[in-house]
Amino acid sequence: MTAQSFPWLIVTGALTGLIGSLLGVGGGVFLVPVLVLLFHVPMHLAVGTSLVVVVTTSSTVGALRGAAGTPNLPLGLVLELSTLVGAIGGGLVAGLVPARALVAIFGLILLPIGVLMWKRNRPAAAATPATSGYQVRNLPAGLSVSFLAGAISGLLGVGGGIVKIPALTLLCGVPTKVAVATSNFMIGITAAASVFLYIGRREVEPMLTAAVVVGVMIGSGFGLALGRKLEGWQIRRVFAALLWITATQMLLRAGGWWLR
Amino acid sequence: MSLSSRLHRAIQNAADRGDGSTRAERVVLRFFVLTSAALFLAGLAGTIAAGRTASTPNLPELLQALPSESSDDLLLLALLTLCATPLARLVALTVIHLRPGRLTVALLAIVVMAMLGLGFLLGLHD
Repeated sequence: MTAQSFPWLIVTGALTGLIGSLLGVGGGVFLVPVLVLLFHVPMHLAVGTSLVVVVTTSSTVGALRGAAGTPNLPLGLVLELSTLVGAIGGGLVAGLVPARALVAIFGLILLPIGVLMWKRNRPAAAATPATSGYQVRNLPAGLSVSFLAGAISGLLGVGGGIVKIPALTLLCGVPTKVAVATSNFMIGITAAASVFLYIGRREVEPMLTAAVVVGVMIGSGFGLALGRKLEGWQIRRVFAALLWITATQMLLRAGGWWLR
Repeated sequence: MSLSSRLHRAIQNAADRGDGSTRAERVVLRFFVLTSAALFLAGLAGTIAAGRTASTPNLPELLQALPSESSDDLLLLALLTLCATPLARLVALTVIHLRPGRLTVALLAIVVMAMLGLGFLLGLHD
């Protein structure tokens, strides 16, 4: 890591924070491929850094969102019970998986995440205004999906919000706005549980993390302000297309076909 | 009343009322985020100015950075502060929900904190 890289890492962090807060996700799905493909950061270090970034996005958005944030905290805490088991398991397994295999798994996971991102929250669904008076249902299904989201988070350094939000809205009947806020509350706790495993294996590099985190804090603030003016579903579709391109590049990298 | 019914009731009560984050919770988050941001900036500036690169610590080394003031250790302290933010949020939630007697939510937060502690202990011995 050279001193010349730092301004670009701060810019990368700012873009991650912007995208994360605009889309209601942790930003790891964007950050990990950028660190691996553009900055040539080893995969495990990229995942460790990304987990710290997910904690940053969750905490910054939680601190700035104010009264507009309406998470269902008891629901988030109950779902965290299974999410944390998955996250700790995923974090432990990641230490045993070779970097190239982890890159391939990341590429494969990005493909369905892109589909979820494309389909999620089309205009009709986004119009749901309620943040109270809804009926929460299907808790066991929510717990199962949360375990999966936690495992993906611990293994690949993503927040898992892109899995949790559709699960909360479609399976548990939670309104979109509440689902986004509840997911944001959960991803920080989930990432914090597995980040300690990565630190324990010396897979969080402080200077790299510092540069990215400073950028994320700036970008998250802008993302929250911008989110009030932009059409969320259009951004999501552009981002979904970007995810598919990134997935292809990650799979090519895993196969050793990445051209520098 | 069974545990499952208690959990369902706590979740549904929050859904009915539309409870969100409280001001106290946001104050705690702001304090931790701003403190870690200031420490990250100071540590990054100091380390770059000194022309050094910070070492990659494990968890015990990270904890040893607590009493130090060198720029390398400021980065480690920033990292520790940031990673402790969700824990601080859970502590705040526990206190907030204990006061009006919402014991189920407070106990849930304590159990989640214990699981976070498990992650920390596993990292310490990895």
